[in-house]
Amino acid sequence: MLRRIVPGVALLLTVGVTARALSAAIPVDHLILTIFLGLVLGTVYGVPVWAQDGVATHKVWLEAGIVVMGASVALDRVVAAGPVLVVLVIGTVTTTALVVELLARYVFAVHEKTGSLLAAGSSICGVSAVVAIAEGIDVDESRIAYAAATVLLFDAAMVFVYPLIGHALGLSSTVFGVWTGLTMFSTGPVTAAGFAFSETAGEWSVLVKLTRNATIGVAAIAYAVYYARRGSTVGDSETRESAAVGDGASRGLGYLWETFPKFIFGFLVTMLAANSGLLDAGQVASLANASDWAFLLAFAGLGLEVDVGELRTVGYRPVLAVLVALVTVASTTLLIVQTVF
Amino acid sequence: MTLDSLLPNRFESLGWPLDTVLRWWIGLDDDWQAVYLGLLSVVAVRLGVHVPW
Repeated sequence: MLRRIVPGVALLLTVGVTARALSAAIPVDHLILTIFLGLVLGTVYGVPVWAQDGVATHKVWLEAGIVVMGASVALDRVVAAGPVLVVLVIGTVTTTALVVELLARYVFAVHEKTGSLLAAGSSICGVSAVVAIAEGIDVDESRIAYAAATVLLFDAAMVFVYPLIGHALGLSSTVFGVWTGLTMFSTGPVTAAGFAFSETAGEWSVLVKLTRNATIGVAAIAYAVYYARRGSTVGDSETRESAAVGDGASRGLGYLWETFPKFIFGFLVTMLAANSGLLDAGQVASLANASDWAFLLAFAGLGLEVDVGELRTVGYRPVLAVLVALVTVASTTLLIVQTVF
Repeated sequence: MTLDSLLPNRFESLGWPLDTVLRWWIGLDDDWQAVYLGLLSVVAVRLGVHVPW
């Protein structure tokens, strides 16, 4: 196992270090450059077979980087902003999900379950949410792939576009971080866009995004219950689906735990350890460096695994539904965040 | 000689208890792997390991 992973991790490190060296010559943030370099290499040459297992570890590096990043987050700042952030997260998640559902069903005539997967992916945590919701409503594989590809298409675009918008509008680090955390889709691109803007923006974006991710279990159960009550009338394969959906809805707390992103616990433990005085300033700086290295590996993998061919298969109707919802919610949210922070 | 052949074929070559710990860690799902990897980094830094950038 170890020797299957190490070559791919070495490739991630090579891409990351190369992008970091290039960023000294090109005025682009090294994290954005890492994703871009990975994307170009992955598209032109593909990921070699010997590196595939190691490249697939990029999710672990991202989550480990977030766990370690907890040391840099000031607890008093979190406590002060906590209630406002929770209200903003609940409001944004609910609004985004509803807007995507309505647009997908009534304006762009997207299949109901595909619309629900898109709504979950857009409002909570990208592809992870698509997969978690899909498990509860047991939808056909083709719809999962379709929704995931749509979300990935937006992830790939937003990671480059958001920092440009942030700089063009002259947003503060706090506003930009909270805004990206509330409105971008998957955790990786949110983290990349946040840290590409500034260190402070990165911390805020991850903090807000983790709060958003924590709602995944509740959303997954809500969708499972909704489709269980609807019965098999909207199913892809009715008998199999109605049984599975009933199962998803009845699992309750177990399902909530299953879908909960556990790495948030690690983030909280690290944040509490650093804020209780267990770590001195030098150690916190060391952990911030460790977090940056982990992100470098994660973003190299994120870029390498973007399948441009798969993105080309995405139809225009789901893209339009998500795009209209994103523009509406993101612009409204930005106004609210600017007022609050 | 390939890069692959330079790497340990089995964890046993790394010695116990590293072998046992690695087997246990690899058996975890992504989320828990990340939690333990992250917390291990925190402990290492607390014990004096310096991570440069």
